[in-house]
Amino acid sequence: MTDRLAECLPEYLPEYAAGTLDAGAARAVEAHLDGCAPCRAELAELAEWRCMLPDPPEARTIVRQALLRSLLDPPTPTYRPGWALLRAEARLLSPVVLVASAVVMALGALLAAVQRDAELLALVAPLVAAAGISGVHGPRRDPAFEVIAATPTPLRRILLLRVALILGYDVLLALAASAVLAAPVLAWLAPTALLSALCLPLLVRFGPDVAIGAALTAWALRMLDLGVVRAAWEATPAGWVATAALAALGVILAGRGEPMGRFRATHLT
Amino acid sequence: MDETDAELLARVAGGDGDALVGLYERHARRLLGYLLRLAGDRMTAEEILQDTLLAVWRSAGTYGQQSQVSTWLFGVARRQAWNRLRGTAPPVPAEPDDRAADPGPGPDELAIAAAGGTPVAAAVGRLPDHQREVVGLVLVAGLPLAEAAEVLGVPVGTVKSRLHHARAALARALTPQGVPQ
Repeated sequence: MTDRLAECLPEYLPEYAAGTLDAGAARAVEAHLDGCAPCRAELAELAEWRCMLPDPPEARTIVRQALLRSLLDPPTPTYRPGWALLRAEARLLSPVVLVASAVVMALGALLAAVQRDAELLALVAPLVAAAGISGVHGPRRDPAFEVIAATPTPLRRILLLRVALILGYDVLLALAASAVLAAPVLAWLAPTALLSALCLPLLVRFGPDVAIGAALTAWALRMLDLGVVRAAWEATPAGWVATAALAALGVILAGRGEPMGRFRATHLT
Repeated sequence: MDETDAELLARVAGGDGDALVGLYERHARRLLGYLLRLAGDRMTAEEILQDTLLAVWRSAGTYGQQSQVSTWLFGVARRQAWNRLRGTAPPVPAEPDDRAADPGPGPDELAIAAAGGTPVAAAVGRLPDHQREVVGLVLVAGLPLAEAAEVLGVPVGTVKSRLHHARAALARALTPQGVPQ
């Protein structure tokens, strides 16, 4: 224990010098300092850095100025150009999701090739896309959630960009599989679009768990291969209309109110 | 002073200006110390400090308790700093002609004065941005390495290595003049 603490001590020194270390750890540091000349020298140097701490402006004056500005200056939304935002969001996509999507899609394609049944791809591709979309948004899934909630860029824009990114990625994967298998594109594209569109409003309103749950349920029903249920997933005009309607619903909901399970994440206006 | 930072911030989110004053009194010195290292001059640093207060006032409700309040505050200050500093025009180059004849302070003295009056401060000002940030966060503001890493969005190891390089560079910059760091 003592050895480990001794190793770690230099790390505690800046906090100790700043007076921000809790009492127990501070006592341990003091005990260690008694017997350690290098650490004492280090501490003396750190103390000099503390001299660079300036006296801040008087509290009430500066707070009054800030509050006055908050009344007079409207929050100026500084939008980033679309391209920069797209690149920034692409960096936030989880590599796990990307790799898992590719692996599942590849397995689906492999199975389809072995079974000589191109339709298998049409069973895998929609699920991959739905799972990907369900993971792009929400306090628990998103490492940048707090930052995003505080930026002036509208949540709707960020959400749509992310959905577009992950969907684009999954469609590219499916296109590649389709090309390898010489399978018809429309067979998987229609159900992929519909299942993704089904996910979007659920994701926005109820969160990722409900979205992926609903997608799995819907798709399990489809797998049962009942005539009526199956027909709903074919590339029909009615199917495309439903897709568009669900996607539009998702977009509208994304810009509205507080999604459930989200703790006060909008500006106080 | 029994209230925790998180409780104060919750009151700020509810529109309580006194709570913002309380939060400011606890953290302003360290925040300004950090901002001064980033901005290089006192006036800009104070402007950013005010921007930070405004941003805290407006977005206090987005604090999600996943990180410490101080980490969150430094994160807000950092974003405000780069928003403002990215927008500043580069400094006007000095007139080359009468520099030798000028009896007033030379550019070095001016830089030192602007940076807070000490050679160390001036040397920090000449460090690259990412090193100045760790110096400001860890050495001046006294943030734990883990917290500094969270503010900067980099691993703790990166903070350590940046700090190491920054201190080595400072030692190099300060030894020829015989100034102890």
